[in-house]
Amino acid sequence: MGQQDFSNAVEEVHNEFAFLPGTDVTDSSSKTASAVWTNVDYQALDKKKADFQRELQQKKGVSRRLPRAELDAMITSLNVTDEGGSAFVSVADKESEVVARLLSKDSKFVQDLDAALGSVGGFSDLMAMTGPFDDSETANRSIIQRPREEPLRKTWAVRFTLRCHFDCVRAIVFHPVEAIVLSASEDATVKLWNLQKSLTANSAGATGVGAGNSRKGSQDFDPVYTFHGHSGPVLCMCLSPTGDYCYTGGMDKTVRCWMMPPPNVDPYDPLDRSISSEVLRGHDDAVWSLAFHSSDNRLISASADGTLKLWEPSANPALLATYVAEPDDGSPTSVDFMSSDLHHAVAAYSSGVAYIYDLEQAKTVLRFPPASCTGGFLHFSINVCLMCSEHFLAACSLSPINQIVCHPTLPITVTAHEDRTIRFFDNNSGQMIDCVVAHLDAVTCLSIDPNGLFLLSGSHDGSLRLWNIDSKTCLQETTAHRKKFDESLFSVAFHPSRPIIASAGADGLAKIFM
Amino acid sequence: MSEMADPVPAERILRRNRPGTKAADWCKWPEMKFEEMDSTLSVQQYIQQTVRKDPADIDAILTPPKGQDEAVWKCEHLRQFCMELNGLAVLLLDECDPTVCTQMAATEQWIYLCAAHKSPRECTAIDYIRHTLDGAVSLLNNSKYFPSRISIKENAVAKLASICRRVYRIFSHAYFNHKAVFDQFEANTHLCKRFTNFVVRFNLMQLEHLIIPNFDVGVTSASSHADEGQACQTTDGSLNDTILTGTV
Repeated sequence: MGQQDFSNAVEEVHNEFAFLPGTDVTDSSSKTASAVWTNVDYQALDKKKADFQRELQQKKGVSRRLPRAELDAMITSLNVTDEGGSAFVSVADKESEVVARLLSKDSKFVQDLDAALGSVGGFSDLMAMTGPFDDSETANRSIIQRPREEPLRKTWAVRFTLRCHFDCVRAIVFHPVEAIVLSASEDATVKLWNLQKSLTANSAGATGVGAGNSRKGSQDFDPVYTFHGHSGPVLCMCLSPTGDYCYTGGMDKTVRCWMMPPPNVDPYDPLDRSISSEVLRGHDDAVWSLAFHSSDNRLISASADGTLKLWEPSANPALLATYVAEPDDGSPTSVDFMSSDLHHAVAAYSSGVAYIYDLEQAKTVLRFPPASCTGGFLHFSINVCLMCSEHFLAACSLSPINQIVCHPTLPITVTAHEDRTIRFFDNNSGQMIDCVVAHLDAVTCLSIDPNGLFLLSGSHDGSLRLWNIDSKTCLQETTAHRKKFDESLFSVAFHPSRPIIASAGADGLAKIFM
Repeated sequence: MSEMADPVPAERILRRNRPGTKAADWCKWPEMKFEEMDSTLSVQQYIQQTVRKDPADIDAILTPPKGQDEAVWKCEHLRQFCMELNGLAVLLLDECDPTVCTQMAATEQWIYLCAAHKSPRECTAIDYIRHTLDGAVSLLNNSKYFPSRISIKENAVAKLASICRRVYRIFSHAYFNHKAVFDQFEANTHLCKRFTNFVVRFNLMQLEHLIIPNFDVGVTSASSHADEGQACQTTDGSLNDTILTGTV
């Protein structure tokens, strides 16, 4: 009886001290020296136990307050646009990727809520609405429901017009973190713009209301760097996920890799040859689309020579694989990597079909739409455009695809078509799940916001439209670019981490909306 | 209603380079009469159409459409010159070594300082070329001087002449120092010949500054005295540039 009681007591003590490092050692020692234990001081053990409980309670208290503090900092910082981005970066650096994504969603959500409540006092309401911070499912549900209840309140307006190209601007891309944007043009140059300097200048000028307003309306500023190297129109561009390299493709058949100069570089510095780090040769015709992998050092290019090429920049040889399209598919026009499966990419063709490719097995996985839909089979859908207040009965036969993008979180791929439609496909079945007549002319470009809630579309009708992806409703429209011959808008972009939108067009201009 | 839903009719000609277009098919659409162009970029469209048709036909390229404002015509042509000149700059990027062409020189009697800086600077030739082209695109797109593509402010016309003088130095440096590259580029574009005819025809440069030999001017100067006066006008201090040695 006594021995058994003692044994139970020892086991209980072991469990209570499980938090200590080197528990195994303690356990081993206990077994070896069990016979030596004679005078056990139970009072001392009870005291230590009480101390531990108190310490544990303190830690729990601290951990509960951490999310609140972070959210509070975010709400405070949202009052100052410039700091908002910094705060987000800071938070993202501290938390795990999942939490960062949640914070990113909350960031959008907080903006809407902040606009509605108009005060920091809204914090308690925010907590009530979102529930426990760590409950991912609840947070997701709240965010998804929010746009359905209240469409995005923010109205985007032109903040800057970037005018420093001689001809059509074919591509516009944001830096992943900084307020930096690059524009690629048919004038054979690529230009780097530092928006932060102008934003700071505006803030400084805001001391005088008149001066501030005047400055905003007529703001003109120059690019901080011009990349010379392409011997012909530059048609496409992308950045590495960390923002330290830029890749451009052009009519001259090359893909060029550029090291990003520092954002405060003097545009009239002596030539720095290290910036042009590499030229990828191999395509036999114009390069029309580029995409960089989110985690591997992989770049995929689509060319009018009928091939897709997979590259590893800086490797020797850089070319990893070539995928040759079926002649019936026409030219590849656009490529994107899938975020849900990092070994898959999507490619769109001028014939109107698209494919999911497995990059490791070098084969097609799925076709959009499935092969059984060929031969004139039509999908019909009734669509409503809020801006036009009209119903369209859209016949969705194959139509050339100008751009293809993968949804960041859902198994959906979106395509922009020459017949004015935007189509949504299921990545598991290849079936078209929706088709929207989106513009009055060909839809040329798409961009999905990093949270996957909104879609930007651009068209040769000159307009830029913002859509709710869930309801397929048009939330805002603006005329962005003038026509040159029958071309107008070529590229749209959401900033990955800041509330900024950009568009680029045939009039040689790029526009920044905030 | 149903008409709205129809795709764009196939009969209509679409002057559009869609993604997937081959280089050989770039801008390969039927010609459009200038009178039928109704865009604010009509002049650029027309100039580019004429250049693509035959870059050697200098007279056709430089002859403005009937009723076209001459100042706008000059400005749009200068934009086109600077844009095409980027092709020469790219060729010179590998050819023009800053340790060899340490200054912007045509012949040894002519050395030029770069005007892109707060005070004129003795840049290497390749830097002079890059800075001059980047400065030209910035000035020609500046909304203070050139806010519109369909009308030119009077105080901006003088800017064209100063850009032309600096642009000509790119041609002359290439001709006297990188003859093979110059000849290759000129054979494809006829750009120097076009530019020389352009500045003479519209009185944007003085004949004594046209130092590249054997580029015959095929058009007699016909501009008014007023234009001539503007062309000779001293440039603003902010865009000052200096010829180090005046001796021929």
